[in-house]
Amino acid sequence: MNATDPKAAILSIVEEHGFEKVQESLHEIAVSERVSVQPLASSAPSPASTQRSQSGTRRKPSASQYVARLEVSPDKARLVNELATRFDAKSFMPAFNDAAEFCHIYGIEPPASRSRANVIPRVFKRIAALETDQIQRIVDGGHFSGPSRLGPLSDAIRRNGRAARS
Amino acid sequence: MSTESGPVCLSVINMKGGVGKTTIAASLARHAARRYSATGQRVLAVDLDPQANLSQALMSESDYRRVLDEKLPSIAEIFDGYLPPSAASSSATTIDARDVAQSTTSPSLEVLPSRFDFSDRLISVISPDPRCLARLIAQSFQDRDLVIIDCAPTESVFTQAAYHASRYVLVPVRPEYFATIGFPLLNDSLERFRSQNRAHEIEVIGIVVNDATYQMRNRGGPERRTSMSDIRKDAEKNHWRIFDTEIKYSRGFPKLMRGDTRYSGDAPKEIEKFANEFFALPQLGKLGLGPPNVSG
Repeated sequence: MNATDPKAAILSIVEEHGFEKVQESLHEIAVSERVSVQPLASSAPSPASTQRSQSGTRRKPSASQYVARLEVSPDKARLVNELATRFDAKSFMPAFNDAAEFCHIYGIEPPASRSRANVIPRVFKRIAALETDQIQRIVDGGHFSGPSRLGPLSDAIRRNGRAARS
Repeated sequence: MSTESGPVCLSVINMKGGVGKTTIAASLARHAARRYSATGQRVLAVDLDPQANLSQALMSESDYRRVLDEKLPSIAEIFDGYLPPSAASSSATTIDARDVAQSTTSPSLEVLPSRFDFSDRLISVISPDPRCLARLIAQSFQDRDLVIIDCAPTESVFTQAAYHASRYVLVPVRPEYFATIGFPLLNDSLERFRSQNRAHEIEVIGIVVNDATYQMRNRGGPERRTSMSDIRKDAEKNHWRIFDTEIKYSRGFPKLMRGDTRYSGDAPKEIEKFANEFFALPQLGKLGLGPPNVSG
């Protein structure tokens, strides 16, 4: 890590904790230090992809809001909406890298900015273009849903071990 | 897209546990699947270890739980050769191998999952047929391009099944004493297999040194040097290649196996380096998985 390059230091923290956690922490620091943070002109969202919140600041649409604008067949719409709802609840692609993994697997370029909000258009456009059975597999399989945990697997092995060997 | 002569079948074997067989099998399978996502080619991973870690690494947690809870067919039923009577059927029924293959996050990669009670087949009075996996691949998976088999770390009928199905064997080894002892055991086991199956050509495609720098870049000291020297001598004796790329320790590997993509350290780079050398071998040329500048 280059000590003189704050971007490299921040990138390392982002990789460890995720973009949103770091953004939240920066916001908390800004509040406690009473720093006024102005958005960068070059990174300001375009009007087409944003909406104005009650406070007047522009906000990126949620996954559910984005897919509501997509034209998909009714059989797909239910599945795509389900994934969008899970995305917004952070149970689907809970970290930016889960979305980046999806982008790699499905041959699309992940966005340069490591933000979950920025992946929504390209990820959900690609999902909507998949065959219905492929989307169903993602929904049923809990794919791209973050790290596996021992507990549920351990319980399943215990349950089925008793049944198989009794 | 399938190749005329069927898939390349490769087993990842070492008689010693803890050398990284499953991690390397899973990583190579994922690497190949990622490259194949644009071409429509397909990879099949086969979990021959009752611990089922390859299945758990490649499948999502909920998909793997469904294999257990819904009693979906696994490699155990493939060795049994039938599906037992169940709520859906009052008699034993034939098994369709394609129903056993489970999806992963990549559409180019499927896995024949294992299950903990697969090991019960080892203590059964009637031993399973070690040729059943080879038959299954011959009958049902000729449209795949690459088959990667992850083996359990002991010699058993499952190892024999892996040999019968494989053209190539990849041997991960850690540079430490006990791991190197797995090495001559494997050679002995392969020699016996060859003498009993003279028409079968099976080749050790190479040895990959794993966890090469130990933890936190510790270079391992004299024990590592001694072990590496032993490995080189034994490899030379058997005319086995040692890959130039040594996979260095990374905290990212266990995270990648868990499906945790948030911080994977150097692990993806380490695998990419090794995979580029591995898939550039002339024997694997038809896979088209060499480094991008080589395979075009």
